[in-house]
Amino acid sequence: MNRTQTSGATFVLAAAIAGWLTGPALTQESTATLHKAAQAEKTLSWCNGSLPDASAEKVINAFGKQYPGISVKSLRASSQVAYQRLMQDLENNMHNCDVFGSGDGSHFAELARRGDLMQYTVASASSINAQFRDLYEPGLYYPATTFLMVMAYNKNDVQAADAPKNWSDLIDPKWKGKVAIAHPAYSGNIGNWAVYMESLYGPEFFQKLAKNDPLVGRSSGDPAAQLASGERKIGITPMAEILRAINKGAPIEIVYPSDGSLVIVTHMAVLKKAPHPNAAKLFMEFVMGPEFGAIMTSEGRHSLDPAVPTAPGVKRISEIKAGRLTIDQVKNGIPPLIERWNATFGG
Amino acid sequence: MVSIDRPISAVGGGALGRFAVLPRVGLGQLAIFILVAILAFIVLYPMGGLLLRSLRDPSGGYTVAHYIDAFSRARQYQAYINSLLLGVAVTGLTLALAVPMAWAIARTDMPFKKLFRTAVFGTYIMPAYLLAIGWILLASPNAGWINKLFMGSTGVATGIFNIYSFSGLVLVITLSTFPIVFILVTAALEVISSEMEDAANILGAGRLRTGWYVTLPLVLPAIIGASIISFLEALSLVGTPTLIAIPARISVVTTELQQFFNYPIKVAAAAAYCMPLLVITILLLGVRKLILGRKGFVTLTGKGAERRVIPLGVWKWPMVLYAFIVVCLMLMLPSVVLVHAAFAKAWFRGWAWDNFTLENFRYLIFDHSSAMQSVVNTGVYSGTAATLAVLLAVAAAYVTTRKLSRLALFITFMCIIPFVIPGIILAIAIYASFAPPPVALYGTMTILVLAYLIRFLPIAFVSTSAAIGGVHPEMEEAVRSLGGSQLLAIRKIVRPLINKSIVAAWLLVFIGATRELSSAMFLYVPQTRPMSITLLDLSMENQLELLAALGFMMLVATFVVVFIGTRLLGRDFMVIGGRQ
Repeated sequence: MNRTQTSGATFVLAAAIAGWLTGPALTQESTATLHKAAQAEKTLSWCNGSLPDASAEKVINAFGKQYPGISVKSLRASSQVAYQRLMQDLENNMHNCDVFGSGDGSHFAELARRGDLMQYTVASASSINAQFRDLYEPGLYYPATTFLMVMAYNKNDVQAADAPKNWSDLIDPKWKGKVAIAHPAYSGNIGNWAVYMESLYGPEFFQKLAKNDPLVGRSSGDPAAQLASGERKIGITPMAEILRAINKGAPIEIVYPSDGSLVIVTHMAVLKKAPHPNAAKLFMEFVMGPEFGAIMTSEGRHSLDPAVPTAPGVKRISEIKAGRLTIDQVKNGIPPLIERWNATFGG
Repeated sequence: MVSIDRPISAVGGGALGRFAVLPRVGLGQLAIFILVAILAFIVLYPMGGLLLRSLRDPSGGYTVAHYIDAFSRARQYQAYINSLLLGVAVTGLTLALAVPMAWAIARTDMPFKKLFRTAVFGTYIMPAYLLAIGWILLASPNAGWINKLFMGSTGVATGIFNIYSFSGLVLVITLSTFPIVFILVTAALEVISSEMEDAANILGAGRLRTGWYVTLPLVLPAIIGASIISFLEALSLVGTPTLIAIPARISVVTTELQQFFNYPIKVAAAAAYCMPLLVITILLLGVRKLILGRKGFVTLTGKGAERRVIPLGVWKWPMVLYAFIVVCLMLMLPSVVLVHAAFAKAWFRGWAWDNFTLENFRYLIFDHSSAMQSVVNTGVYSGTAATLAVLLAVAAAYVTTRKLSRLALFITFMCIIPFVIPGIILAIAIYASFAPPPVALYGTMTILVLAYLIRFLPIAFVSTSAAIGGVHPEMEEAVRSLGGSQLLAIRKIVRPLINKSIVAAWLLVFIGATRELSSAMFLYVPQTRPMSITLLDLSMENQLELLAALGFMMLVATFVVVFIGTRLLGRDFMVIGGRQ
C-alpha cells in the first residue's frame, strides 16, 4: 500500500471509532432481529442515483461483511434518470426498488408528498446534529453522503499562475472551449450546483457559460474524466471524483473556489412498497452508521459531523469558504432551473 | 387454367381444389384472417391508440391541448427542423458512399469483394451507439486520436475534426445507415441479368453510361426504398444523438421526446409530439409510390439468365482505394480504438504496455450487477423476436405478393408502417397500449420481444417480399396447371427458392434487435434490461473502457452467430432475394 492508502486507512479507522463512540445505534438485539429478517429476504435492490459504481462496490462489500447473507444489487444511473425510472415503475404499480438514493433532494420531497416512502426512523441517524435538521425529514428520508463540489484543472495544460480561482472563471472568455461541466437534467448533483450558481451570480451566469462552449456531460463524474483525458482544461467536479482520478495518476489539481465551494447533501430513503423491506431498513441503518461514513470520508467526502476528519489532501469545511443549500432551495430550485438551462443551452 | 390473380373468395373452393371437402371458408382464408388479426393487434392497436391518446383529454372528450402543450417551446420546433436537416444530410451522404460501392461489388470485377462485404456486414452488427463511442474516442475535439495526431504533427492548437457538431453527427449516423443501404442496393443489383446491359453495350454505350441509364433505373426501387430507410433511421436514432447531439447542443426529436417521460410522465403530449413525424413518413411513402408507379421489376424468371461482371480496367485500383477508405472510416478506425479501450486501464493513455488489462472483462463478467444478465436478455429477446418476425413476414409477403386477398394493401401497409415509425415512438405507443391493464405487459420480457418484433417486421417483410417478388408466378402456375394445389406450389417451388432469404431475414432481424436501443426505451425494468441500455448507462458514467469491453463481447458473440449462419447458407448469404 502506498502512503496515501495507509493514511487513508488510518483515517477510516479513526473515523469509524469516532462515529461509533458518538452516537447511539440500534441495539445489538434489534440489529440481530432485523438482520435475520433481512437474510430471509435474501436480496436488496438499491436504486442508486448518487454513488458512482466504484464507491457503491465498496459499500456493498462492507455491508456484506457486516451483515452477510444479503446480496445487494446497485442499479446505477444518474439522479434524474434513476428518478425517471423509479417514477415510471411506480406509475405502473411495479416495485423494483427497495432503497432509492439521489443527489436531487426535490425527488424525496415529492416522493414523501405522494406517500411513496416508508415510515421508518433510522436509529443510527439519531446522532445527526440538530443544525442540519433542514436537510432531511426524519422517518422518511435521510442525508446519506455529504461532499464538496469544487473545480479542477489539468496541470499539464494549465500553469498554476493561470489556473482558475473561482466559479466566475468558468465564464471567462479565455477559457472558451476548454470548460467541462454536466447537465442538470441528468445529474442531481449538477442540479444543486446550478441552483447555487444562480443564487451567487444570477441567471445571466448560464447565458455567459453557454457562450463559453463548455462540454456538457451527463453525470457529475463526466468532467473529471474529460480533464483526465485532456479533452478539457478546467471543470467542475465532486471532490471524490477528482481524488479518484488523481489516485489513478491523472494530472489534475483541485481548486477551492473563492466564492465558496458547494456542500452537497445526497439523500436515501426506503420505498413504501419495497419488495424487501427488512433488508432495506437494515441497509439504511448501515448507511447512516459509522462504517459507511468512514468509506465516504476515505474517498474524499465529508461527514455532517465536523469532528470527523477528512481524507489527506481534502480540506475540512471549516477551513474553506463553503455554501450550502436548504432542502427547500433544492426542492423549488432544480425543476424550473432545468427548464431555463434547456432554453439557454438549446439541448 | 386457374388464375391466381383473382381473390380466393371469387374462386370459391377452387383455388384450394384439394380441400374442396372443407366448408366454404377455406383454410387459406382462415389463415389470412388470422394473419390480418395479428397484424392489426400488434401494429394498428398501439399506433391507433397513440393517435387517440394524443387527442383525448382525461374526461374522455377530444382536445388539441396536448398538441399545444407539446409544441409550446421554440426548442421543440427547432428539434424538428434539426431532425429533418439531419435526415436529408445523412441520406445524401449515405447514397453517395454506398451506391458506387454496391455497384462495384455487385456488378464489376473489383478485387477483394468478399473482404469488403464482410467488413460492411461487420459494421451492420455494430450498434450505432458503439460506432458513436468509437468516433468520440477518435474525434473528441482535444483528446481524440485523430485530433491529437493532427495537433502533434502540425503544432496547431485546435484539432481538425470536432465530433460534437452537426457534421460529426451526420458522419456517425451515416456510418450506421450505410450497411443497410449497401445491402439493399447490392441485393437488387445482384439479380439483374446482364441481358439489358449487353443490349446497351451492343448499341454503343460505355460502362458509365450503361451503369447510369440502364442499371441504376432498374434498381431505382431499391435505391428509393433504401433512401427512405436511411432518412428515417437518421430521424429515429436515440443513442447517437444522446452521446453527440447533447454535448453539441443540438436538440433533435428523439432527445426532446425523452423529456416528456420525465416525472410527471406526459404520455399524451409525447404522443402529440410524435404525430408530425408520422405525417412526414406517410408523405415519403406517398412520394415513393408516385415515383415507382406500376413499373415492372421482375427479373427472375423461369428461364435461365446470365450475370456477367463488368470489367473495370484502369478504374480497378481507384475503386479499391475508394472502398478501402469507406471501410476504413466505417469499421476499422472505430473498431481499433474500441478494442484498444476494452483492454485499457485508461483509453487516453495510449498504447503503452502498462495500460493493458483484462480487468474490464473480469469486472463485467463477475462483479457488475447486471452486465451478463443483460447480455442473456438481449440474446433471448432478439432470437425470439426474429423467429416470430420471419414467420409473420413470410406469410404476409406471400399473401401480398401473390395478391391472394383484397386486404393485400392493408397487410402490406401494416407490415411496412412500423419501420417508418421511429423506435422511440413505437416504444411510447407500446408503453401506452400494452404496459397498463388490460394487457398489463409492463416489466415483462414479452413487451420487449413485441417491440423488437414490430420494429423489425418490415425488414423481414421487405426482404422476403423481394425474394418472392423475384420469383415469377409462372412456376406456381405451372404446378397448378398440372393439377397441384397452391400449397403444393408454395412448399415445393417457392419455399426452396426463398430458403436462403428466410434465414438471411432471420439473421437481419436478430442482429437488428441486438443493436436496437430506441425501441427498448421506457419498456425495460431492471430484470429485463437489454444490453443496449446497459451500454447507455455505462456511457453516462463515462466508463468508456467498460463500455468498450461489453461491446467487444457482444460483437464477438454476434460474429459467432453470423459465422454459423454463413456456413449454413453458403457464400451467397448476403444476397437477399437473389438467385440461388
